[in-house]
Amino acid sequence: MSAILVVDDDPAVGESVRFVLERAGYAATGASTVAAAREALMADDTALCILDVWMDGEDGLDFAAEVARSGAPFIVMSGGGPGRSLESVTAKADALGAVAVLYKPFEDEELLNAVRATLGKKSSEL
Amino acid sequence: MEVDGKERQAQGVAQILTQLSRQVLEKREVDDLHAVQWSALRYFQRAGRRASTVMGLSRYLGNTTGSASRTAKSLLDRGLIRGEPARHDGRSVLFSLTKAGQAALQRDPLLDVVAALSVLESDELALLGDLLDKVQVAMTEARNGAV
Repeated sequence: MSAILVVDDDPAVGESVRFVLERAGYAATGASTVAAAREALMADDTALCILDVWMDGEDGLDFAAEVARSGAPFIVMSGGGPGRSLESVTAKADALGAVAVLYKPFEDEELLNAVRATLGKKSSEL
Repeated sequence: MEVDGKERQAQGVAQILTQLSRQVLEKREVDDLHAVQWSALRYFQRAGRRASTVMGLSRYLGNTTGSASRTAKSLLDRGLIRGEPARHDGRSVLFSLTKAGQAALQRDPLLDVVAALSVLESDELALLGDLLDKVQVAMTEARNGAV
């Protein structure tokens, strides 16, 4: 079954996002580096990718471009970071075709609304 | 001054970008919002409840919390946003758009550019976005380095 791939270099954030998704009935997997996420994207039938922008020394937006090229929908989540403003990140994510940009901190319902808008309500539909 | 072919190309593209910016800015009315105020309004339109704070706006705009606070206050004074104390943190104020703020976004100068760009295909938009982003990042780095 295809799953939602959650990419965040903070294990606590990645885990809590996956917990919310799984509690709502979605299958979710995780990756804490761009390399691991790239591997998962190539190996699995990813239904949706939810990714952080500022990954320990790596640019999540570069990976977002790869996800976009793969044809999988993606949601960007970010609370800001060094080098570029969140406004600039939003613009780039929108231009790449992100289905949503979530600003941290966000509520579970905001996350689930963005996922439902993309995938529908039930994990069985994945 | 002699310029080589690539520099002349760069000058041509730079002229297109500045002419485009001028077209957007020329539409401004005397009492209209400044660019940073439009950005802030767009942020409060998209941000979730818990991120709709001065701190969140500061991260979005990439400026100081003091500067973001002044921008938020200017929108409050115009009646475009409202503020209420956060339940999870009494020291924070959560902002949301008022009806006037929502109406203002209906005449966001960005919308003219969006309409003009909509003639492009999706892959063209992605490519243009990527190229313009590279230009913006290079300019930001050059200006930060020059400070």
